[in-house]
Amino acid sequence: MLAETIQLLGDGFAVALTPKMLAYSAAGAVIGTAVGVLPGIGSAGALALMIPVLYTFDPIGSIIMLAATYTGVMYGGSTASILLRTPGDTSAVIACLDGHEMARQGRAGPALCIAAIAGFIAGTLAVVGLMLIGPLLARQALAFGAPEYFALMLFGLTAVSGLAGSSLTKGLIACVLGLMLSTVGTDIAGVPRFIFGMNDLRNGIEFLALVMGLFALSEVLINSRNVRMGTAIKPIAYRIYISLKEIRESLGAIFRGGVSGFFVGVLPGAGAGIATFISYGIETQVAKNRENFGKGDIRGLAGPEAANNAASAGSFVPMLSLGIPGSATTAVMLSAFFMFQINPGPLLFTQRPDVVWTLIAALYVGNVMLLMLNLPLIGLFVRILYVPMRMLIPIIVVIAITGIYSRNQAVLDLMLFCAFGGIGFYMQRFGFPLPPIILGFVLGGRLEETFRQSMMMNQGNILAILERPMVMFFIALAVLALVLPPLLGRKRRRAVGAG
Amino acid sequence: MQELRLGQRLRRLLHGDSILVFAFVILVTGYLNMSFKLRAGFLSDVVGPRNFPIILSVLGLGLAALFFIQKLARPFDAEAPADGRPTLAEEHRTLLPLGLTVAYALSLEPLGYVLATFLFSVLMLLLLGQRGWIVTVVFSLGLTAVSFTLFGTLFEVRLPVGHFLPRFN
Repeated sequence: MLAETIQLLGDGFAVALTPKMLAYSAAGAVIGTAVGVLPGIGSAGALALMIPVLYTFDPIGSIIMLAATYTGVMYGGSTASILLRTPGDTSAVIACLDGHEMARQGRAGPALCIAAIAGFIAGTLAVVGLMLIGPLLARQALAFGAPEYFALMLFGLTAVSGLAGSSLTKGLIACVLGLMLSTVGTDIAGVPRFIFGMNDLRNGIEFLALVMGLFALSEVLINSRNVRMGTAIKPIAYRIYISLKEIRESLGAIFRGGVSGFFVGVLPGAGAGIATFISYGIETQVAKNRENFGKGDIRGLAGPEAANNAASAGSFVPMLSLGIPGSATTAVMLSAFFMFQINPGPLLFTQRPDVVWTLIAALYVGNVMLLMLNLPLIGLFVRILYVPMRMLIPIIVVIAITGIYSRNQAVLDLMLFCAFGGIGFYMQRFGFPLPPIILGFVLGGRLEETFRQSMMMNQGNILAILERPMVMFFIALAVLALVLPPLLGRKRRRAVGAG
Repeated sequence: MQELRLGQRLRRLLHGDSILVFAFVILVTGYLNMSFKLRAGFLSDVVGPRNFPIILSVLGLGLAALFFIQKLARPFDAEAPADGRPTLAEEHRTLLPLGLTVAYALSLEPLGYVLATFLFSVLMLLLLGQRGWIVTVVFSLGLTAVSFTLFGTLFEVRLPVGHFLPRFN
């Protein structure tokens, strides 16, 4: 069995490593990185835009290019977050915390390096996982019902303790605000809520308007004030490349992020964004010196970046083995498969092993290609920081406004962007952390949906879900995540006091 | 003396972060009020559209109460340095770029993408103290052209053409 797997993988690599396929892979990685930097397009949008062009290509080449584009978009999103604090996607939000802080401290180069290295290592781990336990996991993921998802979302919400910064109360208030924002729009039963008669709000608040307003526009307002007052800090890149010490510090986080990200990615609908929040939550629980998180700690970037890439590869598991797309991006990928008369599902592994194993090899080659192309380009990316702030500000606003407008062509989204920019500015000024809002917003919709489904399944008795072992597992993890850090903190303070 | 200390404690509630939490309380109260008015879409929906928002409202109000209690109970020696209440001039410096961004967003559809983006870029550069018209105009033209080519041409985004000056688009 193992020998057969290795032989099939070898065949996949034989195809993926031909010069023509390597060129496709390189082109996909470059296009993906370039598109990933821009907000509004996203990985699903980028793949959808490429499909009409790829129609004329051969099927295997197209799949390789799509896989490389996907990994490229993920890396490009992180680059924009680290350098400019402009996350264009849920999965890039966490990179704004420690990643952008590292860039502010003159460590933009190491931040970009670790994002690429973490993505490569975790992508490799996830490809091995996809190869060895993918089909088995896909069947298990199907047994994941609404109560299990509800418990997983509750566990995801505990990441707020790591995102809250100096005041947990302020972090929790921000998280509740995010949860409230997630209830705007039509609910699962088709009832419109909090839309004030505006049809543009029926689909809810546009995520990009929220995230770009809170992070990018609030930063623009801070910087424009500094420029006008003459107090703007000139960014300096002290180092372009990462040190061995920094890699050693990050390895644990990368492995933890890679493993947790892969398992979250396998679950249909969970997505890479949730995987990054969970990974950040895990890191802040297990790490020593957790007070450094949010202040440019490389582990706070390495773990979520690893989770991001691993979840992206993990989302291929249900698509390939069951024909179920776990995310918008894999749904677009699935449509590309159908276009080439390839039908993903349980029989794909036996009927079209060439496609499956070439895709697995292509994901791996895409990761290597991304590392090879982007590491030498880090010096170039870092030079963005040297563009005078007064020129960077209109660039960021124009790209943000155009990206947001491109989603729904709605001026209301742009007004929300401005409103969230103002809110984000004042929240930052008075010590309220912004990431818990995004955490609440991202998890809120799914949390309510699964809560209501679980209640319906149990005729209104929510306690009945505790009979399910996976639910108990996640709730136990959530309780531990909430209870352990304060207890350990108290113990540490006592020890310091006694000392 | 005690009265003065109480006064000092209460004055804390008029500073920066407390004002934001007061605004949050007003928002949550309005949200709760609207939640009570929501009706279920179908009978089998045992939770309905209102219960989750009501739970969130109660949680939000509870957290706001906890925040104020913590604020009032904080010992004086642990008082954080002054919130740095901004001067009117500082507010002006912040709000002007925000106002310009709002104006840009509102002018996109009437003026069209190209003209609105060019004007926004010129005005923002001038606001931020950029000197020299040539640099300002060339940079703004370049930014408009690049963003239009990227989004409008390459990604085929339907960008607004404008009501008044269609010939510019």
